[in-house]
Parts: sequence; structure tokens; C-alpha cells
Amino acid sequence: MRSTIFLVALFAMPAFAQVDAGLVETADPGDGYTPDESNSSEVLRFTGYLDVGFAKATGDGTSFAPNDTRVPLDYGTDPFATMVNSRGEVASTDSGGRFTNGFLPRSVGIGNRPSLLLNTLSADVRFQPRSVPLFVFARVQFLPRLTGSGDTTRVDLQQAFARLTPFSSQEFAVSLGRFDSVFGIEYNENEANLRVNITPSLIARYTTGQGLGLKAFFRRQLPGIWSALSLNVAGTLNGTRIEALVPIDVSLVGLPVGSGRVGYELNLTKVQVKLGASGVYGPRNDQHDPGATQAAWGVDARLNFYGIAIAGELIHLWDQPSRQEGKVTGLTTGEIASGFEVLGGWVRLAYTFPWKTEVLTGVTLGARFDRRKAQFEGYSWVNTDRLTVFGRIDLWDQLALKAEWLVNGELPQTNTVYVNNNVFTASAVVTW
Amino acid sequence: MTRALLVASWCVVGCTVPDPANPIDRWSVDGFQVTADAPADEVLGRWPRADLRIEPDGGMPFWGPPFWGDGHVTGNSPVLTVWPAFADQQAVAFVITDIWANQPRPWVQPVYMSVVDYAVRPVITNAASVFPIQPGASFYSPYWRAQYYVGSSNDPDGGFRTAQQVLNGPHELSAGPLIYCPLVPDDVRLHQPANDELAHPFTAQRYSRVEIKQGWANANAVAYLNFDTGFDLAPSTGDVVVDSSMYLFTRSLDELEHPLALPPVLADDPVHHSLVRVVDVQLPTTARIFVPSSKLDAVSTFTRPDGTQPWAGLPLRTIDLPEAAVRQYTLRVFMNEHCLEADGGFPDTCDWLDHASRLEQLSSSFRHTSEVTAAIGVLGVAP
Repeated sequence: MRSTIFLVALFAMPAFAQVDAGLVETADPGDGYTPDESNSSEVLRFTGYLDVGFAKATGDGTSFAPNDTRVPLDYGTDPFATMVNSRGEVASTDSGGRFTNGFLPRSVGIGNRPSLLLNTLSADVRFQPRSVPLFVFARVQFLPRLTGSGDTTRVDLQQAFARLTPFSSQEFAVSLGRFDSVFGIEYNENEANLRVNITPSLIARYTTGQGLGLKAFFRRQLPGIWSALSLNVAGTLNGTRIEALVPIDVSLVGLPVGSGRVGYELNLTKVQVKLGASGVYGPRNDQHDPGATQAAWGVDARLNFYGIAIAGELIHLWDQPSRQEGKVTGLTTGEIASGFEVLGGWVRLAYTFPWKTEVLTGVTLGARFDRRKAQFEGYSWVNTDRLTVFGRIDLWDQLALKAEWLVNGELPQTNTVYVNNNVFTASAVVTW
Repeated sequence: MTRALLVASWCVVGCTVPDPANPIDRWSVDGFQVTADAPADEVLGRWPRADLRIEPDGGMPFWGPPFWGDGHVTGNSPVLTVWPAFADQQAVAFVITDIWANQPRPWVQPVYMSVVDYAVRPVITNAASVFPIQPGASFYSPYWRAQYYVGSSNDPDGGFRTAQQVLNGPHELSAGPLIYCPLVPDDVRLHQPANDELAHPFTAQRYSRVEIKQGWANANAVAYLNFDTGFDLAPSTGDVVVDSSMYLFTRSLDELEHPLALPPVLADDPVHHSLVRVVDVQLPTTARIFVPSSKLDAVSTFTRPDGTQPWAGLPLRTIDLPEAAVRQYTLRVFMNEHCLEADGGFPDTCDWLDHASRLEQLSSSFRHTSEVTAAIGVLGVAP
């Protein structure tokens, strides 16, 4: 039976895995990887993780066809396909001098060469005074990089916020600062030690970005039906996209972007179901025209039972074109903020084997299937998919060894340029 | 008020003042149409939208009264206006296909063209050209870099229909010249006088036909203008198209909204300078405008249907010479009116402001280089 489940998980369908109880648990569906202060016994705590990886991409490490001279180059393909780590960084974005317009992820610059990578050294500090319902959290990440433009090492203040929980009788909290997204569910696995596999989905770029602003979370338990309802809303400078696409640090238009998620969860002894619907609306923060808006809706679902975890997410997003010159991203500046639309989603299935010893604390196998259909205004649709097959072994609950194979594809009959851009990547994550 | 409060409260969290960046304005042929959402205003204060594209039964500026010919547009298709101009002391004609304001530069996309062989001189096959984007795309411009591939068939229906099909195919691509090739709505035509020939509105000079050809963009059929005046229709550095000046006369540089209804002056060799930047030129106080004597009264008193009198009050001058000998000087600006005297030596002794180098000799205070650029198709002389 178990082997049957494993085979189903690995081969039979597009799949996804949710972090099982045997692995690292995401603390709170409303807060992403923000720590649960109720577990902290000390006023000041330091935690973190180290993620060391290895990756090898096929082709030249990019998603650009060598004979493609269309302008901009990044409008006709998906430059995010060759991800190598949990940050969503890709093997390469080297366009060979061809013009791109700011639709690019961050790159580790290895091209198609196999290389070890120090993906992330993440250091967290949290402060919780015992007499005040206040919690302060900051996460600094060290990211050593060497790309074609030289040393691009960064130190990133990924999160920094204060959270007030004014009513001890209510699950209600207000956060101010830079915090995780509230859209969908994938932001819960932004960090390498929490993500059961290694790389984010093809739509993670739209939903998992940190935001600077104000956030409120409320959850109402319904014990009579073993359920709970939650509401998570935020007003941020940037919305929910990752910083490589949209600046986080300042507002370029002077108006906030609203986002939120309504969630339902059913918590039985052996079965857990979580459902949610999300939305975002506001001005695009990658340009200066307040009339150019971004909007998206999404739905998500998770089902966990007997070691099997199924999860999925669907999003439809569209941007209005800017009427003003210039485009600004967290990486670069572009010429024009074009109209854009994307429809995409993923589904993941994983199985965690019930094997557990003092050393071996978890073995998980699974797969995820992604599909993305996107179009910049006036350009052709780019239709791609990806099958990710992965495995993870946890030792002492503190060391995770992960490996996965990404098979990126262009859907036939959809006029998408074929590119050789598959990736093998592995990662060892130590958590303290 | 609510919005102001929202902004004020939001700025407690943190914001910056919106950057007063210059808005980008772009018009292509499909945007010239006057609709309920696009009123008949002037495009960037230079060209009335209704004069750029003439709907059926409309009248074309510079054609018909008070000048020659029939400016009435017949048939069921809208037409692009054929505008008179001067370049290198000659009367020329052109059409406007694209207008930009504050555009950093026109983009150059590839256009995939099937050729018999590109080793020596590319011979284009009958297979339709493939464009990677459609009009309306933010990086659209009428300038393209030819990408040749050796086609296996002359069957126009057997070729590719998307850029992706070309890129996914086995063909080797070879970069060719820069091409000016505006995509247009498939019902648009150029003005064709009654004898179905393309001609200059003043001189009746015949021009070679401008074909409306069909290509493909994202598997959709698109129409484009093929000017048949050769390639390399704009100077470029790599794929950066270099503009030349188009001089538009105005009464005053302080009032740029309404350039005078006079033919502009284009760069020398205008056929190969299709990207132009508008330079407003203040009409010098000593400048005069030539009109054939048979048309002087009609021009000076002409009233358009909207009640405006485009040439009223202008210093119109004439000379008593046969009309056929002077038609090519219609609405041409000159400086010394003594040349119109009986022994003045007209036209050779006139100081005509009909070529770029002469206008550049005017004091710089008479010229204003604008942020407006346009793509024009200069009509080639018929063989």
C-alpha cells in the first residue's frame, strides 16, 4: 500500500507536498514563516539556518533561445524557469547583450556549469517582552554571489516587523514593518528549511514577496465543527510580488496596495483540510502612474491525511500598462511598464514515510506540476509547464538533505519558443 | 477628499511624492481614428487627428479647394493623408504612420522574411513575413530588422505564422537591413486620386504605389504598408534608429499649439530618413509665403467646414507667371520678396526656406526641438 502511494506520488499525477507533522511545521497560516511567540520562553532569541546547494542546468542556464532577437527578450519566454534554490534564483539571466525590460529573477550566475552554492545564511532575532503583548522579529540574510557582473553579494533585511496582539482572548494581531505576503499559501515555504522541496513554483513570483506596510490577522475557532475561519489583510507599498519584480522599500505612486486572504480550515484527528481565497488590488509599484493598477485573485487548497499531503494553488493576475516612461524593479530599471496578464497554478503531492528514528526523522518523496500562461500586451502568450520531482531526508530534525529535478516544458501548439532549460538541484539545510 | 486622507494616512507608513515623469504618448495608424473615446483633437498640438486619417466622404487637407484636384475621399475605406512637404529644394509628399511624445527611442523588432537565398542579394519569396508583435504592444514601432531564412516554398500559405514557429524551426537566420514597415488596419488605404494613381497634391507628380501587404503576427493576419522604396529607410546605429529633423512653421514659439498650415521641410534624401523629430520654426517677420496668382484670393479667404481660415492673415505673395510653372512653389516660404519683382529673377534669386541646411542657418532662437517624433513614409517617384 505504501509503495503504491509512493508511486502515485512520484509518477501518477502532478504533485505537491505539504510539510508534514514529522517535518518542520509552518507556524501560522496567517503569518508565513514568522515565529510563534507563544513557544518562546526567552525574551530574546536567535535562530536561523544555513542553506548550501548544488545545481546544474541544461542549455546555457537561461530560458532564452540563442536565435531569439525579439524585443524585449524577457517578454517572449519565462526567465524564471531555471530556478536552483528556494529563493527562486535561476542559473543565469545572461541575455548575451539582448535587450530585456525588467522581467527577470535574480541569478546565481552559474550558467550551465555545475557548482556549489551558498544559497542563504539566514539569521533571525526575535524579542518578546513578557509583560507586553508585543513581538518584534527581524531576519537578515547573507547571500554570497558572483555573477557575470562581478561580486553581487548582498545582505538582505528580509523581514523586520513589530506585532501587537492586543486581546489575549482573541486570535487577533496587527503587524507593522516588512513581513511575508498574505496571498495564497506558498509564502509559508519561502525559507529553505520550511519548503519540503527546493524551488518555488512558476507562480511564486506573484504571491510570495515580502511587503512593507500594515497587516492584520484574525482567526475565529469553531470548536463545535472542528473548524476555524481566518482573515488576513495587508496594505503594503508593493503588493505581493517578489522584490526582483517590484521595489519593496519605497512607494513609487504614493498609494497602498491592498491584499488579503480568507481561509477555512478543518482540523480532524487524522485529516486536515485548508481552503482559501485571496485577492490583491492597487497601483503597480514598478512605475509612477497611479492609474496603472494591478489586480489578482487566487484560490488555494491543502489536504493532509496519513502522511499524504496534497496542495495546490491557482492565480489570475493582470496589470494595466503605465502611461509614463520608465519601469523600476528591485533589480534594475526598464523602459516601459507594459500591460500584462497571467493565469497559472500548481498542484503538489507528497508522501512522508512513517519511518522515524533518533537520527532519521523524516523521509519524503513527491512531485509538483506547474503550469503558467502569461502574455505581455501585444505579444504572444507564453505557455509553459514544469514537472518537479523531489526527495527529502531529515536528520535529527535539524539537517535536511533535498534533491530535485526540474523538467521545464513549452506546451506544444502554443507558439512558445522551445528552450533547453531543465535543472538538477540539491540542497543541505541546517537549522538552529 | 477620501483619497487625500488615504494618501495622507498612508504617508505615515512611508511614501514618496509621485515622480512627475513625462507621459509617453504613442499613436499608430489604428489610433488616428476619431471615435467617441478619441475626439478630433490635435495630436500633440501638431496634427488634427481628423486630418491624419480621413474617413469615407471626408475631405483631405491640401487637396481640393482652394487648391487642385478632388480632396473628396470616395469608397468605403479610410485613407491616410498624403501631406506635401519640401526637402532639398524639391516638393515631396509623405504619409504619417506613427507619432510619439517622450518616447526614449523607437524599438526595432525582428521581422522574419523568407528568401530564396541571402548570400548575395536577398530575393524575397511569396511567403508572408512574420512579425513578432501586434500593434498596440508597448514595444511596437514600424521599424524592423530583417531576419532572413531560406524558405522552402513560395506558397504564401505554406509559410510560418508566428515568430515562435520560425525560432523553433530548423532554419538558420541571417540579419538583414533595417526596414520601415508600419502595420495598419487592413481596411486602411493611401489616398488614391480618381485615376488611381498616387500623386502630389500640388504638383500632380506621380508616385510609385504603396502596397498593402499581408503578414502574420501571433498567428493573426496583419496588414502592413510596403513603400517599395528600398531598405534602410532610416539611418541607424545597430538597432538604434537615428532621427532627422522635420521643420514645422509656427507663428511664435510661445504658442506651439497650432503650427501653420504650411508644408514642413524634411531632411535631404527624405526617403531614407523616415524617423523625424519635430523642430518648430518661428516664421521670421520678413518671411513670405508663395501662392500661384490663380489661387491667391481663394487661399487667403478659404474657410474650412469647422469655420477656421488656415491661411488668413498670412503674408501670402504671388507672381504673375503661368500656373504650371509655379505650382511646385505653392505654400513655400521665402525671405526676400524682391525676387517676385518683374526682373527679380524668380525663382532662383529667392531665398527659399525649403531645405534643412537653410533652416539651420536661422538663429537658434527661431527653432525649438520638440519631444515629438514621427515615422513617415516618403513617397518615391514613380518610374
